[in-house]
Amino acid sequence: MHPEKTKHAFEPKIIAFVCTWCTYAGADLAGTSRMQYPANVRVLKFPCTGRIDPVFILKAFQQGADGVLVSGCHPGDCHYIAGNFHARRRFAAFRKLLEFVGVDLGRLQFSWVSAAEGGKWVEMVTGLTERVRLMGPMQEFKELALEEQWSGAINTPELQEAYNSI
Amino acid sequence: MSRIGVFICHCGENISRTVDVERVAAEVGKLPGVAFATDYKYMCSDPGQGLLKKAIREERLSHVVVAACSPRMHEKTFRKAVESAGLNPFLCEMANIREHCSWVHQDRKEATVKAIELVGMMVERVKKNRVLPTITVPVTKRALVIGGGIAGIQAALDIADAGYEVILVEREPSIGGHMAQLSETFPTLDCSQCIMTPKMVDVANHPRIRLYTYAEIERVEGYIGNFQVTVRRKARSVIEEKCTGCGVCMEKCPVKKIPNKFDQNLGMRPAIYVPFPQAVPNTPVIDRENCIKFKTGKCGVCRKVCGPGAVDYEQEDRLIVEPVGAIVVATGFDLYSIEEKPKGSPIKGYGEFGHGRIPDVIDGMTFERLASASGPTGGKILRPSDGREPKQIVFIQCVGSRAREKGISYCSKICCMYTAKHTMLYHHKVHDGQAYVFFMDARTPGKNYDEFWRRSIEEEEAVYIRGMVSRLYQKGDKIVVMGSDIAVGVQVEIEADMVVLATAVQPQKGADALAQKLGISYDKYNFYSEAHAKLRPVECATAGIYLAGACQGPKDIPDTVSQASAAAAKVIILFARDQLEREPIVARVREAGCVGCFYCKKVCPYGAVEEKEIRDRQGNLVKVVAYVNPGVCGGCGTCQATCPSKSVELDGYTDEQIVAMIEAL
Amino acid sequence: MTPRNILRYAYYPGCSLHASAGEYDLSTRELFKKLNIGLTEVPDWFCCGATPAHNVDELLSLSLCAKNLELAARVGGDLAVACAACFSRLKTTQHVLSESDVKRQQVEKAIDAPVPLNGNVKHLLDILARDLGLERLGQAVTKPLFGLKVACYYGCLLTRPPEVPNLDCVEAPTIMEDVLRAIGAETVAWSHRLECCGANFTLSRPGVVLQLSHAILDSAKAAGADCIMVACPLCHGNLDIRQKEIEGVYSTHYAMPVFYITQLVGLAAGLKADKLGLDALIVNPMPLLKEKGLL
Repeated sequence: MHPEKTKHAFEPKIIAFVCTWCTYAGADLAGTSRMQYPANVRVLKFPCTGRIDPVFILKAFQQGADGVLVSGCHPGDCHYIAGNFHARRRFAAFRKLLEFVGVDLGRLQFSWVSAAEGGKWVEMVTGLTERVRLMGPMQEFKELALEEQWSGAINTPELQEAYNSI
Repeated sequence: MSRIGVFICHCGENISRTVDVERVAAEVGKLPGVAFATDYKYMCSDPGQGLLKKAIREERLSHVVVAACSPRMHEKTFRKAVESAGLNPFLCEMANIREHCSWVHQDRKEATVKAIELVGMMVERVKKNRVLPTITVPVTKRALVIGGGIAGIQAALDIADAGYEVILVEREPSIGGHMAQLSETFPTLDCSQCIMTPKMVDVANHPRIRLYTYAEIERVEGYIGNFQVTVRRKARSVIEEKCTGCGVCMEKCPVKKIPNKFDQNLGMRPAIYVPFPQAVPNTPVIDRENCIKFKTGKCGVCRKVCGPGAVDYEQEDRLIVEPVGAIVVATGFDLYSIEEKPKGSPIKGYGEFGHGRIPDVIDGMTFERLASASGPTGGKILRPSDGREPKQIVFIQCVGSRAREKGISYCSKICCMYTAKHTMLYHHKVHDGQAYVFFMDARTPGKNYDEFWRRSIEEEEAVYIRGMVSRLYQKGDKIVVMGSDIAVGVQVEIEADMVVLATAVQPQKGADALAQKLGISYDKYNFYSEAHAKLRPVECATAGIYLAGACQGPKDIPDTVSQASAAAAKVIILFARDQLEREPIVARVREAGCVGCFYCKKVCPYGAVEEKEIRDRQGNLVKVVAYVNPGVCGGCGTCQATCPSKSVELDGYTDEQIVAMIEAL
Repeated sequence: MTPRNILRYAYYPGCSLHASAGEYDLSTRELFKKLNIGLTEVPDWFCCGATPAHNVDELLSLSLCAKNLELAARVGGDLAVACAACFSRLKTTQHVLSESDVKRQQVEKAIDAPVPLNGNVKHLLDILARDLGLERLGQAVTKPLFGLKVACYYGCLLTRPPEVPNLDCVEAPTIMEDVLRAIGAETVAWSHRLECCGANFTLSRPGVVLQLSHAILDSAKAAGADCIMVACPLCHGNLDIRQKEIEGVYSTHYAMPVFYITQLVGLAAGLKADKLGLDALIVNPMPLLKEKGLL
């Protein structure tokens, strides 16, 4: 019954930012229906996609995520009336910025998954995981983060001077 | 330094089968800040909660993480347990290692690693959790019931009888809904009108029920205990307070031939009308689309003949705002129509049944009107095309229902029973007639239901043919029904005089639009979703809104009445308290950082953001900042993601908490 | 959408049109010539396998059609098909092979070439009604068929199964009626437009064919039709060639001419009877056409 599990050389890390009313419930439904999907995804629950700050996506990439999924209620179905509309506009602009910076947009997926769409959740997660697996690890932001830490630790004369002047 | 306790649940075997719970406990025990980590068979059980409470006291825990099922399932349970052990409930978080881990993965190693990470993220998050005081809000002890069918009537009467005021809003000119259209009811064959109309009168006479018919919900604002509902009372053109219901206007109205929707368009009504004689209220309404006065400006007969002067052509729609504490949604159902559906609609019509173009192919509700003593034929079963009595009648079940290729996969639940009833009514009225029923399965669970169905076959001589109809077509004045009898394995062809289709039960048109106004969720068919399929079948996920009747799924009358009374009971439970505790998940403004750009005000869907002046001791205005009214805030957090200076924070979902989780990756 | 001015197609006549339905082939070529629509017969085409192959050997039936599709692709342009059965088989093959990679690989191995899955396969009806368009079709009419009451017979394969041909609505198509109205004929509303004539059983169980075709003729007559119009040589065979036999078995009388769509459209476009092969019809249409003043 269960297909043989294939071993992959690279297992991507996928972070999912989801709203609690639709997509989180949809993911729960996938669970109660015992659907199967790759174990690469880690779900972070928000009250609403409206709460999801684009900075979290950057942060996730910095922290080693290879793919990010953002999902909430279908337009018109927001539990908070209009949060997902704000999210939609925000992310439309944010995608452009990411593209400008040179991030492959294939690593980032926005979608609507309702509480009744366990199957769609599975498709979404599986699709993104497979896609990102082919793309390989996301290095750029991780390296940036390391540099940041490094420069924070270093004791340059400029920094010293700045500290002294305070 | 925090002293975090982590509790890993086996959930019987549901989690431990795929996740090595002991290893999870051992690994997270090593995380900084974790003072205690253990696993247990059933954390939600009494001994499980006991273990939790004991550990909080003995280990002097500062925060708690329970790794178990979805927080949607048991977050409340564990927060309550934590509270009873003396900790603030919001210092407890759940990691979902069942729905999001053990149930969806098979590889034990992978699932265990994932579980450790999920718990680790929650450990980091909970460190940043703050003590949140519960917020109490007052409860408005009035209920709104939407829909005046049997579900809405029952709910309204129960709530009103318990001593609370009820606003009952009905879209049509009269309450009664579909049940008022039925002739007899299964499984007792008592007349629907006879058991329905007394209840309608009770509603009209109840001192605590305010009835708005010919009205719709315009807008819903607020939250549990404190909704503000705007009701649009459509212009009736008749002043309800003045009208005595004498009916002279209807008699004198020169337009007489308008198909009456209540009679499934078989009977006719005037332009000023009540849908049926027992209507409540017995106040007519002018159908402005068909009224000569409104179309041409001439006529005006009804105003001339109205003794009390109740007719008012200038009346306009009125918007009324009603504060209520709870809402019961009872909008009922509609029947699948086999007509051709527009391109792109997921629902397809029935071309093989003529797309509704053959006049003597009718649906079950039309048959009800034909069989009803107060119906357009006075209770005689007559063909709509030529008024003859049909001697051969074919009933087809599951038209639309259980037909995935037509866009609906569910069973409509009531059709097996009402078709059995139809065959009986037919046999009682047409003694020399023969009824045939094409069916897939006979589904008759219910008290005295199967007995009733058997009676239709054994005593009322209905011929049941197991199989579906492939096609029917008009041949002369007959309808040829081609089907298969899969029990015998032959093709059947019946020349019928009339065909009755048991069409699928669907939610009312516009059910999705109303759901969006209410902020409740619905499934892909537009049936409203209950909070939990088994344990919370009458509550919506949105607090303070309850469901009754067929708007939640196909239901017969006994089930509908039961659910309506259950919804009423839920409302009464809510009203038994004066104060309501609400989740303190609200946004707060850090005034020092706020520059008063008020982007938050622009995006807030609740209008919770107010402007607040900050003044120095001399009373000089320093700056204007945002202030979030905690009573109005819905807790979506859109303001926080929007704020350029990050000066507003949603309690329970602060940036700190979320970044901590991301960093724990 | 503006119709392209020059229409050109690869043409797959199918076996019937080279045998019992020669008049369908003739009238198609003549009509298309008249309408300035180019037809290039697919060189070396062969049988599509309808109707028995798919009941016996799926791989064979798919491969036959796949090879023909491959041959047609070499000609270029959309593929025009006259026979409803060929149309159905070719479309079904495209559908099945695009749904299943396994079958596609098997078939490609069998025919030793890639299968063109995206080429358009079009029935003549589709070309007349949509590519040429009803408006231009109407302009080509020199002798409108006023007063001729036609029962349009789709048969079972033109619109079914729902997911394959995509020609028109499965249960209530109007494309034939649209074409006929454009050329001035009258169409009757009747019940057996989409019934099966029994073509599959023509040789094995003729009794079934007689029964089914009888019902079709009966219904057309009851609806007051002067004649029947078909777009399939197999339907034509059953309704026209077997009509006499049916009349005998059921002791009835129809004398109901059965035309191909290209014959009626050709007539309206001013083509003469000999160019349309009207003499090849078994039920003589001449008395009817004379009576209506259409000759």
